[in-house]
Amino acid sequence: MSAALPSQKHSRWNIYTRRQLWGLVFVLPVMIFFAIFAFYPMISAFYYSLTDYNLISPPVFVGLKGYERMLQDERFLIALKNTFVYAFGSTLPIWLISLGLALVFVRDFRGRNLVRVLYFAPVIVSGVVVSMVWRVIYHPYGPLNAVLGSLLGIAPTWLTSRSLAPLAIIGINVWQSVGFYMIIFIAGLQEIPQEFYDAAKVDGASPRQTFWHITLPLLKPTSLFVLVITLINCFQAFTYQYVMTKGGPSDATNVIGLYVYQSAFQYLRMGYAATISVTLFVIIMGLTLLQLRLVRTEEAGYA
Amino acid sequence: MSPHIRSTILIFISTLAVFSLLLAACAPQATQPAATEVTQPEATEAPAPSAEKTKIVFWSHDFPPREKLDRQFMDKFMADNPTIEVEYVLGPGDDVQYITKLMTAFAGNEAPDCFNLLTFSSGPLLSQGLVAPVDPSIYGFTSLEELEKTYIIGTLEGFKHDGKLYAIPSEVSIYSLFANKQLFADAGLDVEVDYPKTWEDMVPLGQKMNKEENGQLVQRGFDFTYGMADDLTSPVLSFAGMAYQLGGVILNEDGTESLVNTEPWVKTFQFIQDWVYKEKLGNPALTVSLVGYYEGTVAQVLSGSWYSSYVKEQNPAVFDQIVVKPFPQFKDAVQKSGALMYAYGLFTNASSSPEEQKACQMLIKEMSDHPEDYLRDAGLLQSRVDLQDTQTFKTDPNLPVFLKDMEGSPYFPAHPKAFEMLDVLTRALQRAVTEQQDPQESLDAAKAEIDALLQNP
Repeated sequence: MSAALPSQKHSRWNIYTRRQLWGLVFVLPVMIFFAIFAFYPMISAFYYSLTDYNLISPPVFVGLKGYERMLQDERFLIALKNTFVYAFGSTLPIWLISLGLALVFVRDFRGRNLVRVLYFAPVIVSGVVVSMVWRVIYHPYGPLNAVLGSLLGIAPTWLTSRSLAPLAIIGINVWQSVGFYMIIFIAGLQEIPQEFYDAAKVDGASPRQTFWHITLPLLKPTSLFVLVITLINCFQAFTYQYVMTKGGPSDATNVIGLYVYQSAFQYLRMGYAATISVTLFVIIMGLTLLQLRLVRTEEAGYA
Repeated sequence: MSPHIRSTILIFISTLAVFSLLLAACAPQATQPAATEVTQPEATEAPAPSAEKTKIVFWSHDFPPREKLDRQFMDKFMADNPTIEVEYVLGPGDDVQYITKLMTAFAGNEAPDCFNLLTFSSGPLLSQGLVAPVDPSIYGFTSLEELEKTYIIGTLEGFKHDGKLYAIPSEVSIYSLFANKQLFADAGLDVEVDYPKTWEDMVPLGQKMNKEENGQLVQRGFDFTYGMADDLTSPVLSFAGMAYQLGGVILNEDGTESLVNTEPWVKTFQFIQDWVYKEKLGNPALTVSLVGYYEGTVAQVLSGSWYSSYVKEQNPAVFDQIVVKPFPQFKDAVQKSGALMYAYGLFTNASSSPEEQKACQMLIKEMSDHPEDYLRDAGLLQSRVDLQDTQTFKTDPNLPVFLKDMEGSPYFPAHPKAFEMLDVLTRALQRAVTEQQDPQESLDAAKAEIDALLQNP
């Protein structure tokens, strides 16, 4: 026994090590890919955020001056505010509408799959195409104003009004996103064991009670996921703002993603663009950590 | 926060910091070109070409009508100069993408030996001495002054820096007034007689030509551009030209302060704001005017000579109705001028070898020796004096209007911050026409923004 133990240990160690090595071999190409195309650019961005760099002269290390300047930059603060308005203004309606649609379409009825596909269809269309189509819809003499004109006698200038343009873009985001999150909510709803509903039925729970005390609590992880992913996507906003308004009128729809693009490629302020990018990264990282924490708390609660 | 998350963040931040320090240590030292005096090359005798073949790389943005001509003249050039080989590289047609590619090439020491570039974008290259001055001897002149005389007065100014010339224009552009002959006739007007000579004339003309149906403006007599997402031109070049007629300039003489909140600018903004709100003759929310023009719903717009071929492609019926008239003047203008000018120029890379630089300048001469071909086949106006004697120029009644408008009109400054200044001024206009902000207030904010740009290079 005593003679056999070291040999067994040795052999186990070998198997364990060999497995690990093979695992490493399989993972290595992806790790190298990520190191070159994801981590290196990310770390470079962090470095460039500490420099003054205009592409044609070598970067000059300026420490945190870019960050100081950013906090005093009125356009950055406007873009930051617009990004928060866009993110939180989109998240709540997306969450509510996609949950509502999921509750309807999780049920079995004739033509359910077709209707699900119709609601999901906008998700697969390019954001650029969606923006072009909605520009026609939002035209002062377009179909939306034709309806509003006949019903309410109003004809808003959706994309050239500083107060309406942000709302108009939030509207498109909600329209294009709800189909995707509806599918996620449907998956979440299907994960809830039928026994809970059966038990609730036996206990005489009303549909409203069932929703508040069974569906919603058990859907919490999915809800949190949808909430956080929506926020992250909104913080990375660019396409609608770029195609529909170029951030205008007069920065009313400018968001951080677009301001990074303008700073880097229109104004050739690469160092400053990196500073803003890193700030955006920190915001999104914060949201991701928040999600991790909330999900973990949730899991602990169930345990 | 759980210890696990805390340690993950700590590891992440430490890694970032270590890598950043490593990058900082390994980064190339600032090798700003030595602050040596750049002088316009004296006219010298051309050195004998070396037996070895000189290879040069030429970049331009994509514009199909010009590409064919470029290739044709490059082939001719190589046949005439067998010791020189030219590689022609086309970049993106979009200005911002093309400039990004070019600047990235400069950053990576991979910049072409010669290239075509927009005046707005040349500021950083000029200020950092990255382009070489034009050598007049290549053109057979003994001085720069002699070379300048072969170009229409003022049209080389956009390529000058500290009194030296750095490029030869491949295209010079200015916005003049495009009128639709048919829409004038429909309103009982003769475009040749009734076109607006002044901005003040534009108001009654607009009132006469605007058409409303069911409360909707279905035809506009004239409209400005307002810098909206799908505008084809910058509004700044037009309204800065209007302000210039009244004595308004963007920067003071030494370029240290912005003057965009002065009376001429305020008056210009007030005119445009009144056009939208008081007279209700135009509207930034409607289809942009340059699209409306070729759709036949806007009777007059401001644009450059290249716009004719654009209209022809979009709507040949409207192309046949084009009549170009001079940029209107304010009645109380203190100087007669058009819109601000812009141009594309052919530059030579200062870091190329002397042989490559010389080969580039010879190639640029060849490409600028055929202004009639570029005008006829590509619609590009190269501002050589002898262009006016060509058949193409003489048979097109619209072309002289652009050249006439160029007289006395300045370029938009080729400042390193030119693109940002354009943005600042566009946003100022948008505040005035979409929020009805007081022009003075809007321009005060624009001045503060431009001054901040000037103070923080």
